[in-house]
Amino acid sequence: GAVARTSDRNQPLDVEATSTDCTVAGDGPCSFTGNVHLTQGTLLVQAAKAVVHRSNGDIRRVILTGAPAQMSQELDDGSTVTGRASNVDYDMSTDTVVFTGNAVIDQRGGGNITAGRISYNMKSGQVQGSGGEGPGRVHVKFPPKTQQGTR
Amino acid sequence: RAQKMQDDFSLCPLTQAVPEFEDVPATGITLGKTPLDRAQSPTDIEGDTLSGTDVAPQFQGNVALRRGDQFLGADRLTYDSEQEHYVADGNIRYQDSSMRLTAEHAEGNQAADEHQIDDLKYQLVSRRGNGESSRINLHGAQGSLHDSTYSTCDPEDRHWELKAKRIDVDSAEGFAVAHNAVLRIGRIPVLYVPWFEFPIDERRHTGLLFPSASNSSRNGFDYKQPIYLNLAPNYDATLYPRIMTARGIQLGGEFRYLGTKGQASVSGAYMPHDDLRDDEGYDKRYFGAFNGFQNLSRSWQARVNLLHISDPRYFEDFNSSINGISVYAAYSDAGLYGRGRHWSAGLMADHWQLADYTLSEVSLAYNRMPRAFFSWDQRLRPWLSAGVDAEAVRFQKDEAVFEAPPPGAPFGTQGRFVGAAGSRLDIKPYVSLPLEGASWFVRPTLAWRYTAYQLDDQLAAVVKAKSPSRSQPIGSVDAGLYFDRSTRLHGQSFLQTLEPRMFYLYSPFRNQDTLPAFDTGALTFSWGQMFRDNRYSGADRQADANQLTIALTSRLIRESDGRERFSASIGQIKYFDDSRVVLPGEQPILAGKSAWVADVGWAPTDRWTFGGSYQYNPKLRQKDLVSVRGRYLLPDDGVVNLAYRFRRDVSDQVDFSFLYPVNDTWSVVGRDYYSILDRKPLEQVLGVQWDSCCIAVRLVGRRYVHNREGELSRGIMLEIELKGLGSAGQDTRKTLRRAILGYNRGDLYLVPPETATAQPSTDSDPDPTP
Amino acid sequence: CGFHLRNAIVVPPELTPMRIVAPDPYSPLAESLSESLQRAGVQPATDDMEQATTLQILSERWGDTPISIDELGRAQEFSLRYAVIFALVDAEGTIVVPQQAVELSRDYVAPPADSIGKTSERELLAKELRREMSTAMLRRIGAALLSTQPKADSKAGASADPATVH
Repeated sequence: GAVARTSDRNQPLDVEATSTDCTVAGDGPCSFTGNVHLTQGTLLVQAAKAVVHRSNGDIRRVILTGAPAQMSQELDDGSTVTGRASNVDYDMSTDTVVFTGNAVIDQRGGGNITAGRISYNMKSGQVQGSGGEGPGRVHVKFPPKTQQGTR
Repeated sequence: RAQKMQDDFSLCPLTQAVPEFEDVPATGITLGKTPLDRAQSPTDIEGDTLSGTDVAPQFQGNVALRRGDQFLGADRLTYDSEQEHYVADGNIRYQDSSMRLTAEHAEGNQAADEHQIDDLKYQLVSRRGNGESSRINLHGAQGSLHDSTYSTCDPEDRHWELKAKRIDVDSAEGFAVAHNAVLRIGRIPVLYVPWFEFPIDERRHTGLLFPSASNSSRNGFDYKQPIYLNLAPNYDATLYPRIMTARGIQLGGEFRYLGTKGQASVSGAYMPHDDLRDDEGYDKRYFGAFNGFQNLSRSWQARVNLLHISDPRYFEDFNSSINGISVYAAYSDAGLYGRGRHWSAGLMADHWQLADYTLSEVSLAYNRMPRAFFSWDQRLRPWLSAGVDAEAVRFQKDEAVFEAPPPGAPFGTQGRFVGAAGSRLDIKPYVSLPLEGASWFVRPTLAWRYTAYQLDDQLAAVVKAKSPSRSQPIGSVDAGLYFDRSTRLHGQSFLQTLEPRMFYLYSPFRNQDTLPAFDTGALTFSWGQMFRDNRYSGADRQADANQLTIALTSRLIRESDGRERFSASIGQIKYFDDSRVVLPGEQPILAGKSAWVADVGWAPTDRWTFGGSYQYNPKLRQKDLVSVRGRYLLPDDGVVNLAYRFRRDVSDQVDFSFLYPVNDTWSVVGRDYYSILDRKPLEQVLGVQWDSCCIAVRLVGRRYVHNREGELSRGIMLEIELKGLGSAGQDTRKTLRRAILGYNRGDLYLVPPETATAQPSTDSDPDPTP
Repeated sequence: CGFHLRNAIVVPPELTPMRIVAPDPYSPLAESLSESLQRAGVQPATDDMEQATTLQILSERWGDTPISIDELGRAQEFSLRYAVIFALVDAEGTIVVPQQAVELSRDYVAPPADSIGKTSERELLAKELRREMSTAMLRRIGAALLSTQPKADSKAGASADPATVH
């Protein structure tokens, strides 16, 4: 599977939000609320609230909530993956993003995955989907051959 | 090739072999989707849980894959979106626009639209066809079922089943082909067929591909195996190899072409050696026919109907019903016919061939080679209309004129009939003043008929004139009044009418003894005859007349829908002078009163209809015509007909026929057509029909006049109809349809003859011999 | 006894213009019907008119069946039968005259030994049946329209211009 662009990791992270609550120490959580825009290299995030966990200066985990919270990131092969859900938990150390609450991931060429809960490993492309708490279902749409973007 | 009668599956249980899947609309996912749309439509897969990777997802739990008209349900499905290959396991349910199936394992490739499903039960969506198969390979709209069974019967009561090594189903064309197939009726294998094609939907009806077998004293064991060649979407052919143990082998065939603007069909049958008759000229037996029409323009059309038989007894020896033998001449015609707003015209030729060895060519009509006709009729003013009927014909016949033996010939040499030919021009311009109001009409008409001939020598010698002619004025006045009255009969409002009508005709006498009789005969005396301006049908005789017709008609028309519940008419002609123009051998009509003519039609309810006609000649105090007929439409397609017909010196016959549906499965058919004049039955039919969801069995006994000696032939016909597959045995439905008017309700609206309509009917008979 | 001269049928305005639809473009029935309807004051609908009453001729069939056979099995009497199924539907699609069949027939004798003149007799009968069919259909339409007419008979007698459907 395509892998998240590793170069994003060492790009500067800048966040805009109406209000922030941050402990100055390098490792404390920082939470931003109100129309949060977060960018780091090709990673773009929009959400109502974002909580960023850091350890020794590096971002280790970002938790977003919104109606819905959105994120998109370019993969090595140049295509972008965008995903949205009412709650997004991006664990940078394992490169796994867990979308919960009518989660949708748009894939290259028009395909998409919708489900109650989706966990997606940006590095390996590993995906787990389920209805989440409710009886919901997992849907995957593959566009017909002709319309798919050429690799 | 329209199947003559639709297969009737109404007796089948509602549940099907593979019941519809609840979560899928019965007619496939999206309406109107066909296999062709699959390549452009996205593949949607859903399940309870998803694992694997975004490129190679694995679904578990009530998985459903949908694309275009395809639906696949399974417990588990893994999909490789690179190769678009899927593997599915666990209570597989597959459906597309043509079939539904359930199985345990399925795999396939969406890009190539190829699927393989094992150990399946299938159901064709459109026509009850169902069965089981060890493996199906689907590719687009085609599918091959391996080691498969096929039947339209319900799985519980498998009255018949086809078991085949392979059945190739082509839902795009609506056909299936079974290879190395064994047909079982009940548990008894009745037939092995190496290759067998049958329809799987209503769209394309094949003719009787099924062999038809019957037994009769004349033909012995009679076996015909039609082979259908589907050459192209717009032309096909059927061959009829046939073996009659008492007579020999015959090869019949029909080739049909369906154009955008016309149709054509060539059919024929050839029998190298027929043992039925050993007299000379009856060894090789054949017939050939060509029927076709081509629409040339908005108003011009070409129509050709040719029929040629090898000998006069052909219809008699190859008929299968009384109607086959009733034909005494094979008629062919070809021509260009045109019609416009006020005109109609045509250039055609026709030819008669004798089909009754007891008669000779003399009794046939003249061939018209060629005939040009033109008629124009236009309403120039609201009160004035004019028109002309014109016709020019070259008549010809091989045996027409009797030539006595030359004077010096030895005693006893016989005279003989020699050929005769001649041309005729007939022009009849007319002008009329159609004055009419709401409750009255007066229509005076003045016509002038000019007819001239150019006769060849033999005929000129007989009528003693080389180019005789006649011109004669004809005047007539047609007038009538309409009286109405609203009445109420058991709760419904009716319009009752009283319509007195008079018709005065005057035409002076012109001697016409020197005119030959090419296509003219005395018209049958009837209600219509009282309002015609000539007693003869062709142009060779224009009767002199000074006569007045008085007639009265009354109708009862239901106002809610305009349906005519009752109508009665009575009329008579008063001849003021003798009518002296006659055909050779006829007597003039003497002054005085004609026969009374009365017609009654009564339809008290939607099921009952009665009809009657009566002609009584007061001068000779005798009945000329008595005809009474009654028809009762029984519920679910039953019918009872009873008719008595007497026409002086022609016929005195009773005809009783019925189709009585005892219950849903059993029905009885019968006919007794008896000629009181000849004190013998002409056709007697008694039969029983057992009908069920997917099989119908008909056993019919028949006695009918089958040859010119008037002998009655006795025949038993057994027919087993495997609904959806074809029927085995003599096609009893065709013979019954002709015997019992209304056996197929559509018959009440008749089957068009070739002569009077523009387009020959499309549901033509595959076996053209009547 | 209650009979009165027939009143002119006033063709309801919503029923004109009228279009006649027939399966067989070459059949003269549609032609003769449209001519008589025009004389009865019904304008024909031109092709571009969307909303028009439609006289649908659903099927038109002929039958020339032998009705009596002589003792040698040869047909000697024929019945030329002509049946038309039609319906009249107004522009909104409501049924004015429900679908029904008109069946007419004329019998004629054609003894095998003397069948000269029978083809021209059949052509003459066919012409007469076509004319009678268009009259029969108009009669039924007229009667059905009667039920839409105002019941009061006080209307003046035959109106000025002879617009009649009979």
